[in-house]
Amino acid sequence: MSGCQDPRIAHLLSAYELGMLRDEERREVELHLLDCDACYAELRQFQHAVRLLKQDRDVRQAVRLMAQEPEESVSGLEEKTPRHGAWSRPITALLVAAAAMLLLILQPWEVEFHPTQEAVAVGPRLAIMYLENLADREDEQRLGEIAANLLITDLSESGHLQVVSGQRLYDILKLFGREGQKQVDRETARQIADTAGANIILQGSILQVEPYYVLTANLVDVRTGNVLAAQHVTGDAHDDIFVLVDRLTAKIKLDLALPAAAETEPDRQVAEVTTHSPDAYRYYLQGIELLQKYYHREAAENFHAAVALDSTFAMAFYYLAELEDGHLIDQAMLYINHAGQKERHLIRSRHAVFAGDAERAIAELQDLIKRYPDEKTAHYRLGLLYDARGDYAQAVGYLETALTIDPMYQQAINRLAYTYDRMGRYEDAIGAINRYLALSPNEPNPYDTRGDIYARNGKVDQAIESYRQALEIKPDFTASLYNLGHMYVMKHECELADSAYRMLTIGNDTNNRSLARIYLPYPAFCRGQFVAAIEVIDSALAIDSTDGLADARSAFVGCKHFVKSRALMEQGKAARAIEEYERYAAIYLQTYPDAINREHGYYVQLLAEAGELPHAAAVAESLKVALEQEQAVLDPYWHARGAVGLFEGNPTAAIAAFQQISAASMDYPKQFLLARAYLEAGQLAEAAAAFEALLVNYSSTRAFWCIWDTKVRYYLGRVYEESRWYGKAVIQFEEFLKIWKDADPGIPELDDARERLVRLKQQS
Amino acid sequence: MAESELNALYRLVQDGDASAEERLFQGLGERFGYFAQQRVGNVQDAEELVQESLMVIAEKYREIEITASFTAWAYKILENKLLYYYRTKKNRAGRFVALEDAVPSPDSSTSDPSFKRRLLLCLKRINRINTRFARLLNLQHQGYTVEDMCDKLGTTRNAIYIILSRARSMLKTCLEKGDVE
Repeated sequence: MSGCQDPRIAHLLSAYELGMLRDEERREVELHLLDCDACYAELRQFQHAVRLLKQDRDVRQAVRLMAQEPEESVSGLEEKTPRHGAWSRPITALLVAAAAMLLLILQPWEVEFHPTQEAVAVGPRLAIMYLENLADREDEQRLGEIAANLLITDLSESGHLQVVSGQRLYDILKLFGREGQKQVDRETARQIADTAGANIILQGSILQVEPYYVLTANLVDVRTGNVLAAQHVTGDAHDDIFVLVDRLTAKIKLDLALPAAAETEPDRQVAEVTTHSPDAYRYYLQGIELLQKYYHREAAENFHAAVALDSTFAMAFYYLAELEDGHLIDQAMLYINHAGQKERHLIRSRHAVFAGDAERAIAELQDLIKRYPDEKTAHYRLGLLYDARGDYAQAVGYLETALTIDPMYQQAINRLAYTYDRMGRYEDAIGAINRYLALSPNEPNPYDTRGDIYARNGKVDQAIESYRQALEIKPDFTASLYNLGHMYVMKHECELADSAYRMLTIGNDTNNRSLARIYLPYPAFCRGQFVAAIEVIDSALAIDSTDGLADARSAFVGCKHFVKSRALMEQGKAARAIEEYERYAAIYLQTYPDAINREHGYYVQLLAEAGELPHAAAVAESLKVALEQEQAVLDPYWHARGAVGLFEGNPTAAIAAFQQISAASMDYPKQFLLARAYLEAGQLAEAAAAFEALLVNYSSTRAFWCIWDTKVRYYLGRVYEESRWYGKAVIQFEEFLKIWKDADPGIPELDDARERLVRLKQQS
Repeated sequence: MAESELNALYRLVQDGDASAEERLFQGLGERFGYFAQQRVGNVQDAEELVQESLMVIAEKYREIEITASFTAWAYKILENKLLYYYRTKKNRAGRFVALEDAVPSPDSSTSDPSFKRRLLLCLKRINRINTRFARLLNLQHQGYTVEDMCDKLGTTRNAIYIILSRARSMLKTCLEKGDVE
């Protein structure tokens, strides 16, 4: 180095820049740099190149590719070194040692012998236990769990070994009746590893935390219990747990004598594929644990805490997108480089789901299970995706695979129950629920699901009882409170519905409270009191505004405008109803800009109800063009055409249009309009069947459309009357008038029902 | 070694040259800034540590008699600050800023793309002559310690330093002249 007389420092400088010196050497160099202007100038001059070498993604990638190339020459840098000198001797020794190690480790591996007698090692399968925190036996900071999970993530990045996931270990512990237990004895660890199909266990400890970390790890042969290798890493004062895990990972890979290709595969620092913040990671792990117990709100709170500490924590955003706001998947995508291989597939899949691209979502998950075949979550999600497509057989296949991996996988059993029910396999659905209940008798969700299955099969009282059981276990269990409210609305027990919905408006989360307030007008709808309902909606919108939710992105605010538009239409205030719908549509457009056309069937329906038939027909046709351009299904268009046909007095055209709608889109309001079209067309048998079906439909959509739910009785009365089933007609009219006995005056159907009832009674 | 600029400035300040003080602290601050960023990796924290160290030095250096080197004494203060920083780091969760947020990434738009291209070209040229530099860099990127690298390559720590030093020299030549020869 020109100007510097100390050759020893000169040859340490490069290692210093790259952060590879020991503490005492670094101190020596830095003291020299304070006194040697030439060396300091040299460092500053090279600073930019060093930063690129250390941090730049492209440079790192190029270096990785170069490292893959075979060594061409040993001349040049070591030109004075003999060709078979200092380098070749240790490498030969290393190869011999590696071969011996390989033999030692290969023995318990699964080795497949193909007809060619070529042995192909399936590879080591590693089960990583929680590290024992000897520095703090209570492990209040959960460092043992953090270190184990980081090791799992870091080692899972390698394509040359399989690592049992943290989820799988948790599941097996649960299977052994040791759910959430952080420490297990050696024999239990062996049994856990054996159950997970692992051939090597990693057991370790945190010997010291202050002033620097010291971690140890033993690789233990599952079959023999022999220790195959022992490792010990010591950090510097400034090294955090992530750095230590990276070092331990590197040593473990060496011990496992992975193939040469493993050396050159991408291996990013674990902090780069998780977070740089230990506290954020701690919150994240707590969130995962709560999620496994279905404590969604509490889990979300932890994920929020994680992203508050690390605004680039992709997987925390991923779970928040799942639990709270689907838009947050965009944040996860933005920081997807901060996630591991497996997690990236999950993020991309969810992003595809959110974008409505089920094909891509499925492809991502199928790629994931190719590399991580025992990743139950991916099988489960594939089950969900196929279920949503109506491909129930495929859905059942994936869900059952998930259950083979984890026989106690509650979410999969839960979903299986719904899928069986959708297939019409009620007995199998109840069987799955009973299995779920046996697994988790003290959790609310199985009772909630059983309530849903009962409700979907018309057993409303049993459903209510089941939801109540869920709420006995967890009084603020959100799903059961909603479902209970809906059941009471459908049973026209308005006070009880009101009390269930009001329970939901108590809580810390402004979004959840806003969601709950959508349902507060429903007890008033239940009584036919639209003036009161609108007051409740206006009050809910005012509270949203106070809570800072009045911005256009709040879908829950938008929903309230939609509900209000229905109430206004029932009052005959068509112009205001359309205005409210347009407010809803404006918010919807901002929230789901790509999906607005899917909602426009309702807009046309409102226009048609308002008597603006030419306008409605024109909007319907432009909707068709838009949907065709998007290559989207035409269901919203057929909904629009059906509504126009019905309200312009052409029920035959309406029926033809509604019959074009796919089964998956044929929800409660469309079924109601179709039933009305049958009535208007004089197809009384079809009308009776359609209205009767609506009365045994106990879905949440029916609760949402509870105004029409009450009117079903009126229309069914008319169908029976025209079919000359006078007795049955009387029952329906009486029921309708009883439900809306305190309704607002001037509702045309009420007046008509009274007249018909008088006439029918006189006839009899 | 001849007396360094910093120690010479210190002597001038001791001799009553007030104008030397500003240059002394500026020079010290620059070097400390470099050291702290090497170790902390967070620009904001590094700057704070340097400022705190300089404040202590400014308060004390006139009061105490520095018998040996001024720079060695000042460096000890920075070291103590760094040690205290790491000891208390676990309690600073609220201050966490992701590295990417805090430090402009060298691959961001602010960096010179032509320089990066030249660097990549030079790395390729060096790799034609000897692959060990890339191999060592790759191992370091993967989180291997120098001890692990020694185990893996069957060599000594000193040999690794020599490889890095020679590669640096070649890289520098290449960046300046366009070739490694």
